[in-house]
Amino acid sequence: MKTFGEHELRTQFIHVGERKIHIVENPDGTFTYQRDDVRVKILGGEHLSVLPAPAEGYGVKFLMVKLRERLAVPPGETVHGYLSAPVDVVVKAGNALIDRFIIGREKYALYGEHSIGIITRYHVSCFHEKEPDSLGVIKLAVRNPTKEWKLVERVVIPIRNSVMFYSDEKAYYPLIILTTKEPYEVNNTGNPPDGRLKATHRAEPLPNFRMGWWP
Amino acid sequence: MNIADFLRSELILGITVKGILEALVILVVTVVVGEIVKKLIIRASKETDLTWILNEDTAELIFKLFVLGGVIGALYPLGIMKYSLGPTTIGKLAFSVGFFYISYLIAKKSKDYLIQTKRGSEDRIKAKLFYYTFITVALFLALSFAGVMGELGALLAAAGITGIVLGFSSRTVVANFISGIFMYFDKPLQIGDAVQVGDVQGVVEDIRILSTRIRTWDGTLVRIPNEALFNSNIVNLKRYPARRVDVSVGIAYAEDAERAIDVILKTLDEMPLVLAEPEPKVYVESLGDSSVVLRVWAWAPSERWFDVRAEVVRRIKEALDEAEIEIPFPQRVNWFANELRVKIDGKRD
Repeated sequence: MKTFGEHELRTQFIHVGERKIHIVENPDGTFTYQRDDVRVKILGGEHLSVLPAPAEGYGVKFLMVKLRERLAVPPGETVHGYLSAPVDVVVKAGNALIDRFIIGREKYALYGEHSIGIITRYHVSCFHEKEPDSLGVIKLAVRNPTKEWKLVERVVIPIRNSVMFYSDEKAYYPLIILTTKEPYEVNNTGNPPDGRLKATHRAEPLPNFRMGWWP
Repeated sequence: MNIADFLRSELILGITVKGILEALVILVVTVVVGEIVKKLIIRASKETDLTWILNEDTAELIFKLFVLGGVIGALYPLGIMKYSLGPTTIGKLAFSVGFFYISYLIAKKSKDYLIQTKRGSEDRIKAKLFYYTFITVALFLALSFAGVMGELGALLAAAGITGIVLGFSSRTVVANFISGIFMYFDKPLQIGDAVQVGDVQGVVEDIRILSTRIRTWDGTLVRIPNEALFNSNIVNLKRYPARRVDVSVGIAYAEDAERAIDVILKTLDEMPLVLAEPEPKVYVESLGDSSVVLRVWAWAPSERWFDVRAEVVRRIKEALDEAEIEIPFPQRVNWFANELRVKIDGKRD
């Protein structure tokens, strides 16, 4: 069943994770968008876009994914894998943003020290060798250019204004590269994890994030 | 009138059309170049190990440098810079102000970087010492560029004499003014901060030369003289990213405290804005007169602290009710030294 992308304006339900969007055609030819308590009357147009957005939640700039098992990365190696990830969803009529909501468990955490840390969106995931069955997915490359073994316990990803990619059913963050040269550095490449995916928008490159409190 | 005459024609205060066009060109070119350099630095930050210097902050700083240079450069063709202002000119003054501002940004960025990378308290002091030294040197250089160093000595001597006179006549005003300057550098609070000063709690609306204005939670405006503020204990409620919610909950002595702790921890885990890290803690705080008192520590984003506190209390009550864990009223068991005799009046059928 199609979740992300353009949906024709007609009476129908659109399922996004555990949430349900209801589009109702009114007798006067207009449409009403309903989702939980949100109601918007759409006066024209033919399509509605349901797109993934970075999991900024109430307005955070970073997503911290804590690994269920820590990774031990051999020197000089690069390992590739996948993480499950939370996503937000935006709904647009034309260019107008008519709704934004959160899918799945919403949780936040402090990354770093009490005085100069940052509030991040928080998610716990396994490091999967294959793409997980979750709605949101991160493709992660862990690069260890040093001559020592390195441990990875969490990845803190800059997500504010990040581009997202999507298929009909799933949402993908751009390819994320974690370099374990101290301090660990996270690069939101802005590149698609898979060439067949569609992008939500054309985005500027995001600055790398130096994980001051590693691993 | 041909084009050359039109360009040379004066509009106001000696400003010509040509001057305005030149100023616009300088301004546009510097802003565009600044924007390009900013993007190049952000792009470079992704491909270099030198992220301590090549990062978004540096890009923003360089952009500001270009804009400032553009604004100062644009004022020259307008002829404004040649006007004298006492012993100096507006041009020299603008240059020295710009120089000081950029020095301030560089010093602040360096201090933040030093504090971030070296986290000992001694390193913090060194970083601050570096910051104030840099700022002081920059201030004297700026004054030198402005061409007022010669006058500064005379000014200070005059200020000394004037200060004595003023000190007696307007001590409060001067004290407020000086406190305002110290507060600007000390930065115990900023506009928009949620603070508590003495009995007053609210959001800082404005920081002026002589006073600071705080909008209290109930919507009144309180003006606090800067001297009083500077000498007060200022509690900044949102300075740090996370703030702890502390709640005490009493449960009946008959209840299983361990089970109650599990119920509360589960409830906190289900609340999005109760931070997963630092982890919430629930422990038995004391054995009270009427109840076993549990203490709840839950961290929340500072800007959402009040909402989280209200919700924590409400949801803990709901969760304990649902788990049929009694939150008792105050109660007392009385023992009487002598046996009580009860006399019942009334007729018996």
